[in-house]
Amino acid sequence: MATSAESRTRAYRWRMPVAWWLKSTHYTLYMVRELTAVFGALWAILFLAQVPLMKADYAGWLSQMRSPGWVLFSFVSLLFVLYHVWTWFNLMGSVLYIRLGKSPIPGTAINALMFAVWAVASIVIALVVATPILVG
Amino acid sequence: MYKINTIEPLWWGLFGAGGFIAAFLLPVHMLVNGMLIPLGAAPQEAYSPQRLAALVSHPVVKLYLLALVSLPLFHWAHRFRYLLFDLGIHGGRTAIAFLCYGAAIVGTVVAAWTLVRV
Amino acid sequence: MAERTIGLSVTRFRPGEDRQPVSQTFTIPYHDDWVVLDALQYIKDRHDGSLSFRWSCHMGVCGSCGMMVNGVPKLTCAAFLRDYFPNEVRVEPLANFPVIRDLVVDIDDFMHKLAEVKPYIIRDDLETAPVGFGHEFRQAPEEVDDYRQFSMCINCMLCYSACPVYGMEPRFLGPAAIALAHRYNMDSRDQGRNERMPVIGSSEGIWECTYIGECSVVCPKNVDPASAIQRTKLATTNDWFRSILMPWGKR
Ligand code: SF4
Ligand code: FES
Repeated sequence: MATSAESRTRAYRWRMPVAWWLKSTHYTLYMVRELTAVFGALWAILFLAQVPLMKADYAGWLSQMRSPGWVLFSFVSLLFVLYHVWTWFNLMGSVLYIRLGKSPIPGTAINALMFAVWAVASIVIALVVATPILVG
Repeated sequence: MYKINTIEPLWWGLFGAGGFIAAFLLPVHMLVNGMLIPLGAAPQEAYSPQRLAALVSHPVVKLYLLALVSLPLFHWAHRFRYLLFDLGIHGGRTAIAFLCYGAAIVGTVVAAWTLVRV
Repeated sequence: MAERTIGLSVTRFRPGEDRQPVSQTFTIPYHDDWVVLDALQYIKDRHDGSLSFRWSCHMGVCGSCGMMVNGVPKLTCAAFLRDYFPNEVRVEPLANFPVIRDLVVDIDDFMHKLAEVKPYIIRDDLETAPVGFGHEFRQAPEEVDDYRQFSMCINCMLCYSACPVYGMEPRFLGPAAIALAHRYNMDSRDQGRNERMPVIGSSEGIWECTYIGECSVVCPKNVDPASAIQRTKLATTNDWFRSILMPWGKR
């Protein structure tokens, strides 16, 4: 049904409220999800800034990384980034469509696989960084 | 083949790669480098001056660290660009995109330079 | 036993007379097997014959009765009063669209976008192919699975109304149009992908989407347009990088 030019000019134009993302929990959680990227990037930059010190100024690095600010910021960032992990991997099943022969891999299986790989990778990295077990 | 009027696939590709790096690698580093080691919960030999120096001098570790920093920057740039739009800043979208991705590119260059000199 | 009643607050807008929509409340008998559309029809029959709204099938297939019910886009023929009773039900026109009268919105924008993505099978040999038994374009069941979900769309536009991006940027091609383009792109009988990609892969297409995902939540047919959009982004990105890295390749 085509709308006449006349009825279109007399139509009421709806306007999106600026605070639309406060209108439903789903929208608000979406905004939180987008915000997680800020913590990820900021933490990564601050971490990189410590790297030269590890070699050139060991004592300086020790005091810097032991500061309560760094630990607290890491903790807060971790919470946000864990939310990123949760949302990111849970969306993978809808993004990746892989048909093996006749049947597509179910989305839930893809999601589960992501979390499994993530867990294993995290343990390996933790063993490398926090212990001399894997890399002496 | 077809042509599209934009290079968004480049930014989206970097965003996606950054999303994976942020999800797979950042949490464990936040836990270990941001909390366990600072709080003394990791064995001291793990971060002895010798071991640390050897680690951060290794080219593979440098590449790893570059990816760890650079790709989450592009991930941030992409999301932040749209976040500003979502918050009601609807004008100057090209300029905002330029600034966001530009910041990620500058961050990547600085990170690479820092790591080369370590 | 006294008859039970339910309140319906309904958006009214008379073009040319009202500057903006107002809401009018009607109190009507409550029946637990009534849907919101039944209530609107009762109002039109008994209270105010000028109340305007669209509907056709009353069974969730035509996609014309979409409205905001308590702020959520719904097919009113599938939204039962009993899910809201005894509270008042708020019925408004679909969000994000211009309101023509009362609960009727202007759908022209969507109609144009739909046509732009060419939601039909495109083949060079459609005219010349022999017709008749044994000459169909055959498809295996698993090839149907590749797109089946995305073919369920009834063009009800609930997804547009749930999409904040479309609300802020009306040029955005939007969920259902992209989902339908994806449906034909994934059809093994179709050869029109290269015609659709410049439209859906443009800056007003898939790239506006930030995967808020509400379109897939409100879709009455489980089409999951959000997933269609992300899959298209992934495919476009693959194509793009391939064309940059291997410009000589034919895809
Ligand atoms: S995708 Fe779903 S919500 Fe959107 S128009 Fe189609 S059926 Fe309606
Ligand atoms: S009247 Fe046809 S879908 Fe509701």
